[in-house]
Amino acid sequence: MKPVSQLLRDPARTGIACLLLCASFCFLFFGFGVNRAMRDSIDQVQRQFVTIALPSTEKALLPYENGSGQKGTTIEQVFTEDDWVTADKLAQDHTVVEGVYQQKYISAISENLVPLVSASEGGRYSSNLDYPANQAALIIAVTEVKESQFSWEIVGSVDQCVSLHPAYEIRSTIHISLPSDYSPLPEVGNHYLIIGTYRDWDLQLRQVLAVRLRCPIEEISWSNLSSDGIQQMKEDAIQHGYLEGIEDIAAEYFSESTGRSVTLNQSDLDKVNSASVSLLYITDTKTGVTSPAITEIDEELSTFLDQEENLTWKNTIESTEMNLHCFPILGTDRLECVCAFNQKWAYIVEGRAFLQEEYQSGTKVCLISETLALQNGIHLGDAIPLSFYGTGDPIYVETNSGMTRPVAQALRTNVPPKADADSFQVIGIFRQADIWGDGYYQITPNTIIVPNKSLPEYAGLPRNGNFVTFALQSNKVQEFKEAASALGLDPARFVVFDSEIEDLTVALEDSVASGHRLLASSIIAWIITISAYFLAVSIRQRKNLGLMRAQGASKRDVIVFFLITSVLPVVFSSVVGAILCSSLFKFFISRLTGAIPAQLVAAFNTAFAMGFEEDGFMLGFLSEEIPVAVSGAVLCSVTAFAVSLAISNKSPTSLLKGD
Amino acid sequence: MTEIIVDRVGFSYRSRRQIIRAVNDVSFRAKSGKVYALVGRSGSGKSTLLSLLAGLNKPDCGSIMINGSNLQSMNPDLYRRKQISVIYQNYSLFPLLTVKENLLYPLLLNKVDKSKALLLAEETLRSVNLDKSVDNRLPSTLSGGEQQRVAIARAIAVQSNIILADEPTGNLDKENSLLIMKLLLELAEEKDICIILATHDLNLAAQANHLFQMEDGELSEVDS
Ligand SMILES: Nc1ncnc2c1ncn2[C@@H]1O[C@H](COP(=O)(O)OP(=O)(O)OP(=O)(O)O)[C@@H](O)[C@H]1O
Ligand SMILES: [Mg+2]
Repeated sequence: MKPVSQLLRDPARTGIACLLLCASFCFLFFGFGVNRAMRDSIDQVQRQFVTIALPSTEKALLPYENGSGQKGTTIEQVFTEDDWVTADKLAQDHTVVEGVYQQKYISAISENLVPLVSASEGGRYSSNLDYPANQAALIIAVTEVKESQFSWEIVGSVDQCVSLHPAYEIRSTIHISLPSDYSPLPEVGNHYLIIGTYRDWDLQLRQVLAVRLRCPIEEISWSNLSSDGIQQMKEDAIQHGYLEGIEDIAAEYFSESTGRSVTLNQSDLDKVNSASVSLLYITDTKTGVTSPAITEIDEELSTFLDQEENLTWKNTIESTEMNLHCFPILGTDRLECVCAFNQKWAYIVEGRAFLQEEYQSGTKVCLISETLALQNGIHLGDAIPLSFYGTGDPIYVETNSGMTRPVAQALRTNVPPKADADSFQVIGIFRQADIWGDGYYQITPNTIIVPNKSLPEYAGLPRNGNFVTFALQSNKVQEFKEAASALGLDPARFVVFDSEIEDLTVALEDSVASGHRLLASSIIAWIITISAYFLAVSIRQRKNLGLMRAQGASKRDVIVFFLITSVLPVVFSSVVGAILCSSLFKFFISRLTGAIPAQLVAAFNTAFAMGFEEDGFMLGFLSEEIPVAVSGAVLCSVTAFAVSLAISNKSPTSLLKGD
Repeated sequence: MTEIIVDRVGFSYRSRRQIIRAVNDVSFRAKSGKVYALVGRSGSGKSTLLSLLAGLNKPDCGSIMINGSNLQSMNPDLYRRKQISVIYQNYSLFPLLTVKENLLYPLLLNKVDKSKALLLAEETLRSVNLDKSVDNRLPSTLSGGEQQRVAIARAIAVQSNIILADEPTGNLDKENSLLIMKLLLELAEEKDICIILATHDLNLAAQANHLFQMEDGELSEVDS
């Protein structure tokens, strides 16, 4: 009496049973799947639209009084050490603070990559943000030496460009300044090697003009500059007695496209076709003397650098060149809590965000900006080498509007040697709404984002709002502020970015409720089908089992036989049902995405870009099916066992008679 | 040498509504090598008595001794598997097993070697006048009489000490009835088996070694 062959010998009944079971399992999985999908959506939305509170990075003039009663003011962080102590207490209140996320910071060299500089992005030149790639080494011929109020102004023309970021243009006139006590002063006609921060005055001026004329920066051409008529204008002004305010005017720029004109004074005109180099201070390795990085050079550069006593210069030039491959690295445990991503100032357009496993295991994967990827020809899946260096303390530079931004630490001859390169795979490419944006808490397009755990031990954990995020429980802003006040911490010390997801969650919660109803009906339908099935099977098998018993089969034989013949179709159907349901579901979802209300589409799109992809979705769905199928099968087996036990306890004669 | 001693056995069917006394104070002895026939009106309790002997129901009172040991104290599965085989009134074949497989089932339960069992099954089928063509058919494709003979063959093949037959010839024509009866008589004598059969056919019953009459659950021997 082989159970399987018994089933196969009655293909019609077995087939019908399987078909019904299959349909009910499919519906059951569907119920669970949809329910899970709805729950996932809410989770995803809540995960991605986090309300965050960042400790203010603001600095303020604060009065102080030292031990001897002397009073004064000092510039200090608004968010003080004491505030941190309180904030840490506040973080313990999980009714309002879901978690505190600390971003790590470090710098890295990536030999083959060149960072972006704002000079290549028309109209938004913010030289500081280019640091440290804005370091230049030039040889200039001095054309003028002027004494000004506190310093010497040196003007020269470029003889040779030793090292400069390729996006910068070499301007014909270079301005440098030296302290008034500097000696020996450079002499006109001599050649000097200078190293320092390059600032493109010409570009800066055109940027200002473009803003004032409201025209694209590319349009500005110095041939439209004229000083004709300025003299006449001044004479008219003297006549009418209102020279004040216009005495400095030296030229006028007229834009043909916008019809506007702007006046320039002499210091503006000095900026045309010129750049400045703020000299670096370098310390001579031998003498230990620190001085501005300028030295006379009257031989070939290579000859100069080969000389023993010029080793410091050689090293400095090398490190300047190296600075053209330096990047700020930001580590995170939750991308949605990095302010720029939280606020969708930056969002993934290709690939995905980090997965939970990657955060946990510190997989060497990274996200880079679209602009950086484009400039360096990097594609999704490429590996980029990163060798970390530096102390891990972020360098803050000021943007044009005075906001601070972390950038890579500059490499100097005295920076500790860099580590071996680690290979990081690019898994996502993000776009920035405003690449060199001026607001708070932005990141530069050179920032490479990695999981916290993939960074070396010594990476920095800066305690400030750029790097520490308080993730709030949803819709708990008010409570958070009250909790902060209650602890004596001024809520204004936090900058709160409210995600305002209430509307979205209301809509989603509606669909979750429908999901629940669907789940309930699918469970009921399944229970009915399964009960009917077992009833039918037990009626059908009764006589067989009685006959087996009458011929001496033990209770155990009978139970095993019944279990196999009744549970096997269930197991088979659950597997087929799972496959059927997955494929139907995929189909259903692909149709459904077109029918989602418009307001959700945008949210879903963002969500999809953040790793909420269809595949991940399906995966979650399948992971739902397996436990459901297993518990369904277990439930059925228990039922089958109970039924067969009851049957085997009946007397064989009554079974044979069919009751 | 097998001996069945039935002593003052009684049995009632109990349902919620009523109690039906199907077997009442029945006593008799049966020995191997003989055929015993039970006759009586329909509903007189023949099948019930056989089911008690087969260990399918337990008597309310009295005792059934098989070779000196009480049936109550025996392992019922082993008893049914080894000691006794039953030919049911309604043939009771497994519907999804072929004729041959139906015969093999009790043999394999008894752990008879598979090839030996096959041989035995075929041999027994031939002995009840069924030819090879039925071997691999399902019971539902056989006529009533053929099914009956398969059921008889199944009981015989086990070679147990006791065969209980409930209307074994109910669906058979006269010729085949006689053949079966002859077979059972030979079997009883040659293999020293105790055969008890219930029947309405008085002609057939007359050929048995002993004849019992059942009436309203009570049993009395009819002198031949
Ligand atoms: N499962 C049962 N539940 C209740 N009563 C039963 C059951 N089986 C038989 N009976 C009753 O027990 C009595 C004896 O039945 P039994 O089947 O033993 O008669 P029988 O002599 O074999 O009749 P027949 O010659 O028609 O086969 C009958 O009155 C019958 O109605
Ligand atoms: Mg009967």
